[in-house]
Amino acid sequence: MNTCEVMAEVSLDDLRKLVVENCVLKIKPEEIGEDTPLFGPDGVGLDSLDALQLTIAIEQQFGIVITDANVAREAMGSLGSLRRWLAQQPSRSANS
Amino acid sequence: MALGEQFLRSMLAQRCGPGDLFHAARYQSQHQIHDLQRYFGFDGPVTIIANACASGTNAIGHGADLIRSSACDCVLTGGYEALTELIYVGFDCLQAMSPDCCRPFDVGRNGLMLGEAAAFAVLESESRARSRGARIICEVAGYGHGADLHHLTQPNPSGSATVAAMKSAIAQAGLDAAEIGYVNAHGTGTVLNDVSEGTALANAFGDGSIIPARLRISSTKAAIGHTLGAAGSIEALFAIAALQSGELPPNLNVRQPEPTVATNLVAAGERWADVRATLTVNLGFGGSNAALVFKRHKSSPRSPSPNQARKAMVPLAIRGVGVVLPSEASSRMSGLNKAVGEHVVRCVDRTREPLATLQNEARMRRASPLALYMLAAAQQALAVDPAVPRHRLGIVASFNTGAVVATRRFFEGVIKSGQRFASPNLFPETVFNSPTSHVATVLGVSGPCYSIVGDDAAWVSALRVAASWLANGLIEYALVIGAVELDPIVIDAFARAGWLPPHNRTGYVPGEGAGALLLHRAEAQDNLRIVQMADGFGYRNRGDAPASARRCLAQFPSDVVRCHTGRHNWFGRIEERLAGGKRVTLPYHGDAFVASAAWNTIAAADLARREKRKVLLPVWGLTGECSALLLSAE
Repeated sequence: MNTCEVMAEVSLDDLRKLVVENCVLKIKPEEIGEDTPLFGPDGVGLDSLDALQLTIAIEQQFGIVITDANVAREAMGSLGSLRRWLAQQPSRSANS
Repeated sequence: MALGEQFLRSMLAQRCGPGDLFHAARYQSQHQIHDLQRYFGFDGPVTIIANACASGTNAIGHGADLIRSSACDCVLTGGYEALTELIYVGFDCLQAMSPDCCRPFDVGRNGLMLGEAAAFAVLESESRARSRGARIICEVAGYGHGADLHHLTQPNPSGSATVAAMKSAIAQAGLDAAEIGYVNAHGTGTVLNDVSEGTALANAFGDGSIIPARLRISSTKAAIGHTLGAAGSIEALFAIAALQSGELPPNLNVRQPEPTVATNLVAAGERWADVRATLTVNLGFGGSNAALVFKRHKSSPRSPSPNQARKAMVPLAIRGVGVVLPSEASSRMSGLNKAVGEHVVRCVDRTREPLATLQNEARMRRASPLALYMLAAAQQALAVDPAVPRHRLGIVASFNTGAVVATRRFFEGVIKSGQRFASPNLFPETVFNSPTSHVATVLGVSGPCYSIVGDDAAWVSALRVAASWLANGLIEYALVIGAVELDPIVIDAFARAGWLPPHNRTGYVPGEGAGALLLHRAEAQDNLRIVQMADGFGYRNRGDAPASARRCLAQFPSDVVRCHTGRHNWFGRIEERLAGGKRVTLPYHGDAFVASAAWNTIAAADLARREKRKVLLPVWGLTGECSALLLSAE
């Protein structure tokens, strides 16, 4: 069941782990800074396939479905923006 | 593919049934082609090109290459696709499929529609067709192909590789772009494909923005779907039918066309009386691009010469070699099915250099380990001559199960987490030519690239492809690679097939790794050469395998050193019984099929150098083909 509560805060380390595992990164999770751009050559170097992968991982882990590509692009700019965006989403259990 | 999916499901569910053996033994691609061969009673060589969605185009083009280089008189060639859950879920997770309607070249297009099909054509030399009084449908006049290094699944927005493929096909046909009347475009209906292809068409046929309206263009995918492996060949047949009848297949479902092709899209019912040449073009994952040009056949006044002598094979000089061998120490690997237990295997140590460093290459991030082995072997082969110009280099990779680690992980994820959570990062890595694409990208090779699949004899098919490219001057150097990776599902399959203990007590050990040769058209100073190849001596079962092996070896001179590949399986016993000459047993690094064939070729070349005699290397395929190579260092 959906509730109107806001999601409990997700830690940066959890998000680091999520990104490293899902995007098969060969770096240590702590190497990704809060504001390091996730996409493009100046940051972690993720691409459009990773964006789809993270969309699915977020749905699987947090139960939040992202359908709008623009929303996804903004939310996934960096780990910090992803954490802030997740914190604003209505809480929903992944298994509900 | 569907059989492989059933096998994986069964192993993950810890089931064991009589169907497993059938699924394990029959899921590889070459079985369907061997069935076709047996049905028709054909005995010639088989080449399976797995260049993703351009495969069908490559198949027809390569058939024409084989006839042009006089390697064959007549070729049955085509493409086929049967939809499976893995493919469907894969395209779905990439969000590549239209939720409602496939609209190629429409500005509001929202994805592709999958389809299944098979399409074949018979190609033969003009002299043979004329001598038997055949009704000639058309001429395969031009073929162009190359790799787009931009991204694994997205075409370069400039369409440069597509332009290059179309231009070289038109040039080979001896035509001007203005003489092409109709193009069957790839036109998948995805946002990125159609915009890149529109740009490519505008550059190949127009001034970069406008295409003359008399060139008619359509994608037939709105009508029949994207038939993947079959797309290139069925769309080639549409281009041929348009040439024959003047009836052009319409581009359906367009409401507002892309501006680049707006005046060119074929409407329903269009006819064109004077089409003299048509073109078909296809793009695939891994950056595969291929184009074919068909011309109306004009009967020439020359008298037919059906007994045109076969040209001798152009000797191939071995310029460089590279190997990635498994560790000396064996390890153990379990199947997914607990009943299969642990078995001795020979695995590559990926923590060793240069593999450890190469893993950091951007293209290797998501890749199956196979790509890493291929890259390390290829770089080693190129190291002897780093000045090899990349634009004159082609790559032919040969595989058995291909990227089986990525494929198992992708489908296991689908089974365990559900179709909705299929991994978009893994799906493209399951495609046969993805590892080849990664290697091409890291090395900077944008020329011809083929991925060949089959049993061990696919190694000889790959050498045959390289020989035809070098013979017709398409490239100056060829990297030929054989690569295999191990995975628990492979252990399940080998165990079910009875290849592992306790059923097999011969000491058979599954292995993995890669081998690569850098080849060049032999010149006077090159003394290390592959001088003769024989392939395609098919057999139906173990009973008639010895006869096929003997027929294959009978193609070669008898005063040679014969290699014994030392295989610990039923073929090893056949090999022991074959008579003839001095025999040398090659080192055994575990059974790694095409990779073993590559290692053995390198060992046999070394032997030829030491013995100063010709060396005959048998390459026995375990699923139906006997092939062999003759090496010389004289």
